[in-house]
Amino acid sequence: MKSNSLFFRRLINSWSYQFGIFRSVADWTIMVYLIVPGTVIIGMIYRSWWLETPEWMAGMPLFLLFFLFYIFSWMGNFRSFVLEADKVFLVKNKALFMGMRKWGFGYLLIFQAISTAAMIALFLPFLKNRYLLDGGQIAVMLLFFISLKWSIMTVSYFLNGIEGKFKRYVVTFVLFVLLSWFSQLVYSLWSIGADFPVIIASALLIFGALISVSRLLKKISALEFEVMLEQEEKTKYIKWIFMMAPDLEKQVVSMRTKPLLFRNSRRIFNKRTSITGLAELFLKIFIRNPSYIFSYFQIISVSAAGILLIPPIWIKVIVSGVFLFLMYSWLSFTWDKAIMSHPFTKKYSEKDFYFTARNKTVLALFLLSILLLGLFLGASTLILARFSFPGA
Amino acid sequence: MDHKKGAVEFKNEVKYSYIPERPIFYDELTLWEHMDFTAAVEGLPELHYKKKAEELLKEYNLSEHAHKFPGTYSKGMQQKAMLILAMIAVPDVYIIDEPFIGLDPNAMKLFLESIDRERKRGAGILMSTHVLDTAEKVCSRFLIVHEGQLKASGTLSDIRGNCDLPAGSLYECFHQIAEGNSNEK
Repeated sequence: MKSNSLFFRRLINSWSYQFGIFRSVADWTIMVYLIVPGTVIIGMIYRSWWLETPEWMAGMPLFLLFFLFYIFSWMGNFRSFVLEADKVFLVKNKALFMGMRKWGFGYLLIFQAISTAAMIALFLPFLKNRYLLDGGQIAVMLLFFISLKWSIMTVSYFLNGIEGKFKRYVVTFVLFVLLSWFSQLVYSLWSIGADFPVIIASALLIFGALISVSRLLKKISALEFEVMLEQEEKTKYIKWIFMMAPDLEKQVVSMRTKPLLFRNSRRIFNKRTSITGLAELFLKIFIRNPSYIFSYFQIISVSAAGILLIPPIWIKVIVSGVFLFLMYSWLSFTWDKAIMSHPFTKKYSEKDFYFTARNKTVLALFLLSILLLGLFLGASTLILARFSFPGA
Repeated sequence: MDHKKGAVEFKNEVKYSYIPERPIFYDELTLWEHMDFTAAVEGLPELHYKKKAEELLKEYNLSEHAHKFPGTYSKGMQQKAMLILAMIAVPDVYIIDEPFIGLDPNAMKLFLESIDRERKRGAGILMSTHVLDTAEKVCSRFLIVHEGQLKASGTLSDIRGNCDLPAGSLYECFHQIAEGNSNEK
């Protein structure tokens, strides 16, 4: 088998996998009632942009559009199309393995260049009719953003390799700011018609990106990292769907080796009984699991916003009732999920102390949530009253 | 093979510890917190349990890792942590599923010594394993299960008599009992 046919096979598999995800969300009813009419409407809106610039666009400075393209340049990563099993099998055939990666990286460079062009094509009606740019200026802008995107893709590869979340965020943030300053400089040159320096800057960026990519392609040691990267890219859309579905609780996996709170296994309750032991176990799981603590505050904040923003009193009462019911059921469900479904604790689920610990812990967290909701509502009402917002 | 349904009954107040083949921990709790919990729910006296926990951690070379999440340990360390958690409860019965998988030779020796110590204390130990050579050395009675059916039981001599191999090893006896049947699918 040749590396190109292996690559294309994996590319097609990847597309069919993503299509499967799309189909899992968009069944025929969603296709018929949302996607098809949505596409027609979007097409009509786009056509109208060519005929007449919409009002909301009139006051938008060109720089903001440029900044939007800059943010878009941060989207997209390299993919090497390597799979977990390649660590054992494909890696033995180095030529095939390296060839496939080469195709993968090349494909991504072309794909991202096309997506940048598509992004600019989307705003083309405004660029031509509102900002009166000519073809040459648009072509230079396209060249700059393709070069910027390729450079950021290369940089992102290295950023993903930084161990430690905090360090990675800080370095990413600093780079984001530095590159935005660089883009501002390019904008100021481009906007006064100085195309030549922009072309030179783009050529340098492309040169730098291609040199880095060719070095990356010679490296085989990053296999483990690339498998992880590929997995992340593969599941990107699933994660988006999960993010957009608030009823799904996201299990967050932490890479910490030691806890942040109650370090050195410090106890919450000094007095040890079966009840405090079980309650402490649950409270620590609850506090240290971001999924649980996030959902807890989400229920409180959404209910507080509902009570605060919806004017009729009877709706406020209903929202409060729903909050009480929802919070208590969710806490009970979370306890059962954490304790009942785990082999380590399941064997105690028929003991008397289990029910006492469950009732006391759920009640304590429930009362705390009411207190937090009250505090949040009180503070928000005070702030709104101070600034005399209507409805406060 | 289909799952078999059954019931396990314990006498009143009998404490047991189960050690699964694949170590299972709470991702959010340190090893010490797992032990602390076990001690609390099993009603172990505070001082006695702490002393025993420290001894076991030292014996299994996990003292430095006691306040870390066991989910981040290596496979061998996780297996050792599971054993410590089982032993800290001072159970009357141990149920151990494939105990020899994932243990390095030192840990294996330690495990066998600990099990022997517990046996001498009076604890019953029920192990399920495919490592028949080791089982032959450490177990006093056997239940040979093949394709979900109990095929033979008793001491090694009983098993030998059952399969007509007076000098056969447990492995040979098992093979003899299973002979004629297909290999595990």
